[in-house]
Amino acid sequence: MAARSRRTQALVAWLFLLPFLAPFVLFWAAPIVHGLYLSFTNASLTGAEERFVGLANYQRLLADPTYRRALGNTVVFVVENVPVLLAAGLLLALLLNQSMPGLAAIRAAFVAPYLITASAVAIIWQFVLDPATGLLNDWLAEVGLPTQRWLSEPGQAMGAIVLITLWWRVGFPLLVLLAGLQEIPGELYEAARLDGAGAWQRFWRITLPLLAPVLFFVLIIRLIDSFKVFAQVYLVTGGGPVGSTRVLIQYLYETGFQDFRTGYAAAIGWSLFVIILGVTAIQMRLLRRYGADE
Amino acid sequence: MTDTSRSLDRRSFLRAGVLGAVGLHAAGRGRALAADPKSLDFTTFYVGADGGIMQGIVNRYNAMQALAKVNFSAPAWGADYLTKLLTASLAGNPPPIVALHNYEIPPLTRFLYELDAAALGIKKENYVENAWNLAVYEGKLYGLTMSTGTLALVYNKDHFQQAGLDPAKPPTNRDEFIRAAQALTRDGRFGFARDSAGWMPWLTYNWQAGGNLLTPDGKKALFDTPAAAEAAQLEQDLIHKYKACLPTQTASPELPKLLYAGKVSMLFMGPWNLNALMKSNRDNKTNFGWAKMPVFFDRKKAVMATSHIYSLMKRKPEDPAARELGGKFVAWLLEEASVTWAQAQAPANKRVLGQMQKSDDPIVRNMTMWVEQADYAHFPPYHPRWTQAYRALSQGMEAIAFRGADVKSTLREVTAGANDTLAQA
Repeated sequence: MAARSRRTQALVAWLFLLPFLAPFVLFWAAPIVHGLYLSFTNASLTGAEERFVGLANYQRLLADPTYRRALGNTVVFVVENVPVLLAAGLLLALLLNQSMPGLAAIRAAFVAPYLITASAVAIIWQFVLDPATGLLNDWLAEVGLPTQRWLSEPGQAMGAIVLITLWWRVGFPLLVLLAGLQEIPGELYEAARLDGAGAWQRFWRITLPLLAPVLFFVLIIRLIDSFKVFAQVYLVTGGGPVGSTRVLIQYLYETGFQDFRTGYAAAIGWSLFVIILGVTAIQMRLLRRYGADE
Repeated sequence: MTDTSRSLDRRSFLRAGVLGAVGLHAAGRGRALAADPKSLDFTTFYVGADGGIMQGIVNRYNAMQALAKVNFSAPAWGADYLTKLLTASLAGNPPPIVALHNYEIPPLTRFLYELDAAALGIKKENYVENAWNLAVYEGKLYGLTMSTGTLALVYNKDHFQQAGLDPAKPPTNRDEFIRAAQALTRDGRFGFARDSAGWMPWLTYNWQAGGNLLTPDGKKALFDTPAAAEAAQLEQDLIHKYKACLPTQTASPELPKLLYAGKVSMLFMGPWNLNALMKSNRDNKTNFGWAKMPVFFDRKKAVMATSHIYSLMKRKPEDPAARELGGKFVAWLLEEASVTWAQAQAPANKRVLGQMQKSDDPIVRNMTMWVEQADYAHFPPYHPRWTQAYRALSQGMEAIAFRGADVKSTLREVTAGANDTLAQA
């Protein structure tokens, strides 16, 4: 009787979990496992005979100049984008963490771009940065400054993408860091002021240490997101000029859905997963070490 | 005490309700099945003004017969179009009638019906030969070519006049083109702008110089031949030596905007732009003209072109009615709708050229110029790795044209990379 009751309870529990578990397995877990399997095959969407090829796809990655370049471009984007986004988010959070008229509107203005879709962002910034007809070059010409090639110049295009991403995505770190700042007890600042600490000392000794866990969280999220950059690159520059902004996810998309080599594309995807996992593991270790030191 | 034998209990009420609903549905469905024509999806890449014209053609077909109702759509253009068709085919549910470019046929052959043109009443000799053959793969006909899209020279006649050039005499060869482009480059605008993507001028120049893209067996790239180098040198010289071409890269969809904004005086454009150009001349008082592609190299008559081929796709389970009615629709399009279609694209049906020349519609009359180029149209080849190989080529040409990279060494490097890619097929 007790066993039957336990079985019934277990069944009811599974039934309640099913609405989540079924889509989770169908649309997340199963494709991940299938993707891993595909990465060891020469699978193609055009229906060529599928064969198990072992590690051949991964070996090809290491020798693939397009993959290496795409990975390099991705790393450049991460290195340029993450510090800029973090610094801008922190600066804005510090500036907006006070009372002032119109504060809500100012905060909304910085967060609003976060709600815009990637395609709208691309259209806006192509209009702004077009070397021949763009707004920015028009303004530069008006004030007598030299116009730039922006998205047409390999040395500038990635910087332009970083700028676009900053405008589009600063809302998230701003909101999270602002929430973190508002959790810091005001009495600590009061006590520091009474002890004669200046603004910089209060920031360095109070704000930064107490905000560190939130900063690390934002850093981890932004790092992962930056490695997965795709939409703004694909829509704004298409990976050009001369492949200078082609990132890894774009190469994965082109390989799988334009060249139809799904096996090789799966290998690209899994290589990116391993890279992100490694970077995140290093970050977590540093965070634990930092937390232990404190 | 209640007489329960006569009252309608809850279960009986529910039973009666369900039966009634099912019965009504079945009755309605029966009437609908008997009356409805066969619904056929016709999926294309006509996302511009040509889409509106094809919709009108489809509406005409639907109104004139009762067996099929064709539903026209244009969900995408570019690389994503083939991806959508492929994934729909893998799911067994592709549209029964599709528009394809020639290079989209080989990857889809296992999902396409082989066509019997004669059974559909279509005679090969009535169509531009090289356009007809685009739909033949491994000896089988997988589609019928409705139209081709050769590039032609579009120019701003007002700019010509301002530069002291005769607007009635657009350039016909390389020297005239360079002189015109240089004269037109003034007052913050450029004489010409190059397309960096699928329509790059190098393709036309290379073919005219006697070059090609792949070896006859399709296994190796021919991007570093003397003809290819001459073509690349011309692209570079137009920007760096003659200073007559816009030196910054512009995305393909943005190039017409430069023309309309008066920032560029000449472009190479396809026939799908004619409608908009004539509308602009009429409504905005612009003064655009068009002429056949100049002869930059006289070793071969050639011009870059695209193709619009209509094919029938296999569904799961097989739908013989869709196949039959789809075939009739495609045959009707080619035989009866080509003149109307000439408002948007250059028909491959040779028999309509006379009608087009006498047409009351100025767009149709002007389209004859594009039709006349179809005889020497050249098309992108098919190879399973062509997209990747072409990507390397276009990036190399960007470096050559915009950044002045050394022509021969860059083309050699690009060719070596492309050959590695092609070998992976």
